[in-house]
Amino acid sequence: MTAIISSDAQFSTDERAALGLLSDWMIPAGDGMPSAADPEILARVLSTLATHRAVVIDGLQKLQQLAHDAGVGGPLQLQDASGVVDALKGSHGQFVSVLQSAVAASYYRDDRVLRGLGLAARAPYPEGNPVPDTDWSLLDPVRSRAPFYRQV
Amino acid sequence: MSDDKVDVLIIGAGASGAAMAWSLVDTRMRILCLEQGDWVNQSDYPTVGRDWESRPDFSGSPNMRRRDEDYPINDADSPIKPVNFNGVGGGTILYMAHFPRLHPSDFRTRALDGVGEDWPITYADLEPHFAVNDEMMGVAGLAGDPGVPSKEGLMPPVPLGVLGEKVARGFNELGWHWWPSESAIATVPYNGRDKCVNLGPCASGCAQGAKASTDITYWPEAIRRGVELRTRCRVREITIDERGMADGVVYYDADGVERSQSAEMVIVACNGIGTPRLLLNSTSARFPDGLANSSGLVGRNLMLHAMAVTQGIFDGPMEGYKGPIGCSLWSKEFYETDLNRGFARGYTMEILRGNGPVAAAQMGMMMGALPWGEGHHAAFRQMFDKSAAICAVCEDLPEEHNRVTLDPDMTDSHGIPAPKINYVLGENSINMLAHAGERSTEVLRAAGASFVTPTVTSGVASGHVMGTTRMGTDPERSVVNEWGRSHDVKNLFVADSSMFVTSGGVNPTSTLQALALYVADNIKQRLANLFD
Ligand SMILES: Cc1cc2nc3c(=O)[nH]c(=O)nc-3n(C[C@H](O)[C@H](O)[C@H](O)COP(=O)(O)OP(=O)(O)OC[C@H]3O[C@@H](n4cnc5c(N)ncnc54)[C@H](O)[C@@H]3O)c2cc1C
Ligand code: SF4
Repeated sequence: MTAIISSDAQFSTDERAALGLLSDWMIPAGDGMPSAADPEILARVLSTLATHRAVVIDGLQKLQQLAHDAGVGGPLQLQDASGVVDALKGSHGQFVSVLQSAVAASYYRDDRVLRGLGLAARAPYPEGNPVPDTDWSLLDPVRSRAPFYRQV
Repeated sequence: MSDDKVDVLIIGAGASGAAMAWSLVDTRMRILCLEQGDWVNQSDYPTVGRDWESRPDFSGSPNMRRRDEDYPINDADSPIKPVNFNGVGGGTILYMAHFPRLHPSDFRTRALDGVGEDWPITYADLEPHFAVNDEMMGVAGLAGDPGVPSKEGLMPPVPLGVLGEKVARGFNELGWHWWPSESAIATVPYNGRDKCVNLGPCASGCAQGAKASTDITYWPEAIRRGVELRTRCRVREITIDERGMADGVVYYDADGVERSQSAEMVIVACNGIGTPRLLLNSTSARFPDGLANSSGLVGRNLMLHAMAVTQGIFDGPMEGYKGPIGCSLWSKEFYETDLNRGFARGYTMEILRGNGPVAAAQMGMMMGALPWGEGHHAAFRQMFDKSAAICAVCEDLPEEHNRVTLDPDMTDSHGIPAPKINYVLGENSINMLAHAGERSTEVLRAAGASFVTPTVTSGVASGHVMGTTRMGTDPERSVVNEWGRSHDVKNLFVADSSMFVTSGGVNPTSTLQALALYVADNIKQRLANLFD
């Protein structure tokens, strides 16, 4: 992998690959669920991250440096995922939180993921949600109490 | 667009500006409202789309939302981060519609407890206006709450759901007070509004139209009766004539063109941050420190409500994402002062429903409860829809050093100086927050939580902004008089929660709207000698 620094508005192929790697580390496939690096999900992640480009590029440069320190050719060859993530969290917390937020937003709106969790894959409106009526006898102990706000 | 002189010029079309405009229509005066934002189309709300949990353009934070009509707020020096919405309806577009009133004791904190200041008016003065406002907004709740004064005309309460019932049992176990929250939500069809269908995230706007935002309550009626509402008009300053009376405003229209509008009287309804900002931006040789600021109190005594948020994790599903997020039940157990607790005044515990999957995952990762890698899926299943949160809304006392000033560098898109917030939690608030966190933990445990997260009190968002042009009879200790008129400029009024003398331990909108109606009523009764 070559340098991952780019001045384009879009992410370069290498940048996309590195962000895919991190997304997969964050939420891998398993338990009947897709990986966050699934192409459909990753496309949403990348488009969300485009508005935080400076922070993202800064974080990817750190990733590149970590790969260099580990003596491998680039991020895709990195083995110690948890060590790398801890290092990123330590020095590039804002990048990690922007990435986590984008991955969570892109992953947990995916139809396959929602169905896997037993949730309806739809917008809340117009159907809404059924909520059962409340049995207000629950309030009986409170009803027996005299008014206790201060009368002025 | 006409620059003809109007009788009444209201600035801001939010919760208070709408109530004020509607009420003053009775006078048959020519009323114009200038609002910097726009109408929100019901079909634009996030809940109509699949990305309903990730729409920054409907974030409560103006610094994240960054719409053209927003102004940034420098909140770096405040542990509490102000949220708002700028458009027709103002904050009610995004509010959770929790609709408690201040308690009678809140108007007498100095006399009763030796802290804060007494208001120049009482709960009884506002009572008729609370009733009118409830009718206009439409309020759901259950009569008979022993923790608050009685009221009538409520729609059936919002159902508690699994989560609410579980937490209610926890309160019963401890013998503590709880009651279904009063909510400005139509639980049955109300005045042409559909009933709530439990979409959940009311804090990103209600596509169903069940939540009482003033764009669908007061405004249609006010406009039908003759009020003119001009949107995308941002007021830069209020101008004065040679006698020191307000004579109009300078504003930027939708095309960014600078315009002036003259008026017989000006009413500011820009909220507890926008109102002092506008007054401080309105300087002149006569008022070099800002309009109506001879007391030096414009912007001071800012109250944001200290908040303690505590989350419990339960074993079974809570169905917390079903139903109005902010409105389930409240507890007034610790509202009234008991000095044995180590602080004066008190707080309301408000039980919030849970998040949708995106917000749950974002929060889980942020708090370190949701790991990266192999364990992620199991951990998410373990935590999603298993939580209930208690937000304790704590009364913060008025302190002059907590204030809104003008930022020397930051501006809005028209180059108008942005507000800067300086806010420090007082000792009374710190003690109250600690107490609230402990009691919230206790009740969540009693309700069956297997784990309770440490209480969060910093970085919490608040849409409650009060106190920055406080009302009073003494011109040296207050900015407006006991019916909302500026002490310094006799045809200048304030309509919003900037007038609050103390904050109470409840969400402010019901009270600030009642206050706007009270000021409007005073204007109507005093028309013959209003400016004397
Ligand atoms: C996410 C969220 C949740 C909330 N939940 C609750 C709740 O459950 N219960 C509750 O009681 N309260 C809640 N609130 C607070 C509630 O929204 C406010 O108390 C209420 O809207 C304040 O009313 P207001 O009239 O003072 O100001 P606003 O409603 O803020 O209206 C002010 C208006 O003035 C306009 N304006 C400002 N400056 C200018 C200018 N220079 N020129 C032209 N126009 C201007 C703004 O665009 C805005 O529309 C919440 C708020 C938010 C954001
Ligand atoms: S829960 Fe009810 S009030 Fe809230 S957004 Fe949905 S329909 Fe509207």
